[in-house]
Amino acid sequence: MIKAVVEISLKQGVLDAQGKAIEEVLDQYDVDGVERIRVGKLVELSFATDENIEEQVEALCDQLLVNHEMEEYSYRLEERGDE
Amino acid sequence: MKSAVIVFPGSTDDLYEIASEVLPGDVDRIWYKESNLADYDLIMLSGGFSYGDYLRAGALAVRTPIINVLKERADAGQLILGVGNGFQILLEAGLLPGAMLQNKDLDFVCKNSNLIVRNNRTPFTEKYAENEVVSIPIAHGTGRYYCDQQTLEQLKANQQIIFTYQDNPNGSVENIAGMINQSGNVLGMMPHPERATSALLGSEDGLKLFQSIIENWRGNHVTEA
Repeated sequence: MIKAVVEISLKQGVLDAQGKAIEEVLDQYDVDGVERIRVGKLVELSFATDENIEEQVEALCDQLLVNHEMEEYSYRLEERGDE
Repeated sequence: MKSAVIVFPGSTDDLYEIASEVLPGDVDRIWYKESNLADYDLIMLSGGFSYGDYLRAGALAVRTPIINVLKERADAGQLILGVGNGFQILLEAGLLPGAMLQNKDLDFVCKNSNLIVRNNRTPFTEKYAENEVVSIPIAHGTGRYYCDQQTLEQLKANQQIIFTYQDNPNGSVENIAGMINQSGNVLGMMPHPERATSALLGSEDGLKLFQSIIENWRGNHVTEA
């Protein structure tokens, strides 16, 4: 069976206040190569079928999970392991 | 005059309480599982955190069947007022354009805010003077209004921006605090006029919004009197 992992992020150009806030404390860490941080959401959809997975993922993203005024998404499909 | 406040799990009740005091006639609380909104002159969506603001503020509330009925009433020209979470619900429902983001500074901001009345030629604002500055409190963590440039140009061209913040507390595009739909019957605003209806509460500036609605109703019903 399949699991869809959906990643939702703010569109480029929309200020990500959480990412900005995290950037402000970066100087506390011994890491100097990070230029920018964006924070998003991860949603897992576990399917009980192998049929029409992509259509179902995209329908849910378009109609519920994602607000296209400000967000965009991508997803990948994985085999469900032991859950 | 008959008014309704739609109640979701997580809605607050102060809009209902104050509307019951300041509006003539009955004000009914309508649980979101009900479906009859036909008899009302005014439908209100209150503040709060419907469904805990899970997924996005207002996102889950608009997937309930009563929102389809609300959309029909909006299309029929009925007056609809959304305050705070109610504004977020109107945006998620697509009854108003744009979206709401977490405040720019990530704070929950709870304070009086000075608003400028940008358009008083609406059923909700006719008692205000144009460019009048009014003090109405805000209380939100997700109040940063966002829309793309094309939408913003349309809002300006159609004079749909009704209230702007004098001192933008949340990073909203163009200081937008409240807006109306193109037909002029659906108003959404983050500030809470119901919390500014008595000097005891610190301001009476929200009263004129309710008085405008009453005046509009009287104007439409004068021949029936």
